Amino acid sequence: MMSRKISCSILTPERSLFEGDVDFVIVQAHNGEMGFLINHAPLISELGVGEIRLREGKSTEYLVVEGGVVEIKDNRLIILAESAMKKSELDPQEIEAKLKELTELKDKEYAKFSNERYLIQLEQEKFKARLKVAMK
Amino acid sequence: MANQRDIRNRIKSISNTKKITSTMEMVSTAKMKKMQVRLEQSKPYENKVNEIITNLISTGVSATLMDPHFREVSDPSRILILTIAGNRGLCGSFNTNIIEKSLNFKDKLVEEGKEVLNYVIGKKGINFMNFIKEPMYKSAPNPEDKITFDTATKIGNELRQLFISGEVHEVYIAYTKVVSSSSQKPEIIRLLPIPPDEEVLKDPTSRSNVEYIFEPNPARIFSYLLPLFIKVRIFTCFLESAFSEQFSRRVAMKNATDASGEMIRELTISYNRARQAKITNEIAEIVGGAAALE
Repeated sequence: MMSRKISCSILTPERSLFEGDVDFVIVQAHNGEMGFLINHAPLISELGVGEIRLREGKSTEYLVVEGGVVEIKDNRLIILAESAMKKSELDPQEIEAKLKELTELKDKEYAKFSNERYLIQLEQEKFKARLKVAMK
Repeated sequence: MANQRDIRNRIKSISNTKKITSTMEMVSTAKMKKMQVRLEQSKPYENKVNEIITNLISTGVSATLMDPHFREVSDPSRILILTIAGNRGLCGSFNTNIIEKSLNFKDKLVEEGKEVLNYVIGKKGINFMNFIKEPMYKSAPNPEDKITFDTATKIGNELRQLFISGEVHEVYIAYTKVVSSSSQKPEIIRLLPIPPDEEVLKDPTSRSNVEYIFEPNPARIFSYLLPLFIKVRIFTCFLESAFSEQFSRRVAMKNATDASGEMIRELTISYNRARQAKITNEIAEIVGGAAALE
């Protein structure tokens, strides 16, 4: 059954986050989720902010990715993320606190439609995605 | 001949110095190893980004070369040089070499009648520029081993903005390249505009003929990857510089430790000589005194 797997590696500039064979990969693409099984056609896609699920047998591993690209070719899947974290590295309480802080900051400090507000909004999205993964 | 106590004090102070230098050697060896690991970790990422860009170019997406990151100005007159120096001294000629390289390059450009902006990273670099009264466009301390990809992102975006808005026509980085783990040399590379054929020329045989599906479309991916490429470039430059700095510090400290060991050895010999001379002198005095009594 080994041949039914795709080899998957998740890289960030700082480190290699995951390396191994998995059955099924779901990534957060730029406009929705995208799943990869064996013998997928060669593809390059942009990633959004969201979760990655790696299914291996009956267990599933969760990761969070914040932008990047994914490439699949010859059953070799490579995710180049700008920043990514494993579920085990996330602490829901900490993220929640940070999220709250950002929300307060956003409502208090910045006017609507300002550039700063937009940047905080982006930051918030990231933390929301992290929280979602951490709560799994 | 210097007296016994003077020599002993000197030996003591040199062995203190030796302790410091050998500790610094060990510290920079440890830091160097850490940087090496990080460099190795970031290598596959860089290679992959390059590979995907190569693939994109070779699939013949004609729109790709129109990207503003490739835009060459026919007569570039405003040029920015990003110089990556260290924060601290005691690392041999690391800082001098890179500053000299960057200044020579700058002088050459100025001779050609171009306006050059200096962007200096690293306290040692900044201090030197201040000392020779060289104006700086901008300066920042070196993040050293705290460098993260975010730092590179910030600098990358800043440089990209300057370039794309047309404020500067070319951007160069002066950094210390790691040629091999035992040899580093200062180098200047052009960051922007991206030399158009660089990735393709690297290894033309590796061009794949695979028809990729691009999601959402090649141009979009390309315009995402190019800034990423630049950030990764900057990130590696920082990592390589940090590695080189630790490496040359290690070498400098090793030399200092060796030299102080040698000095202690020589001083110990003259210390023993002085002690022996003193004893001989004393015996001669006692013998002389006894002879006078008889």
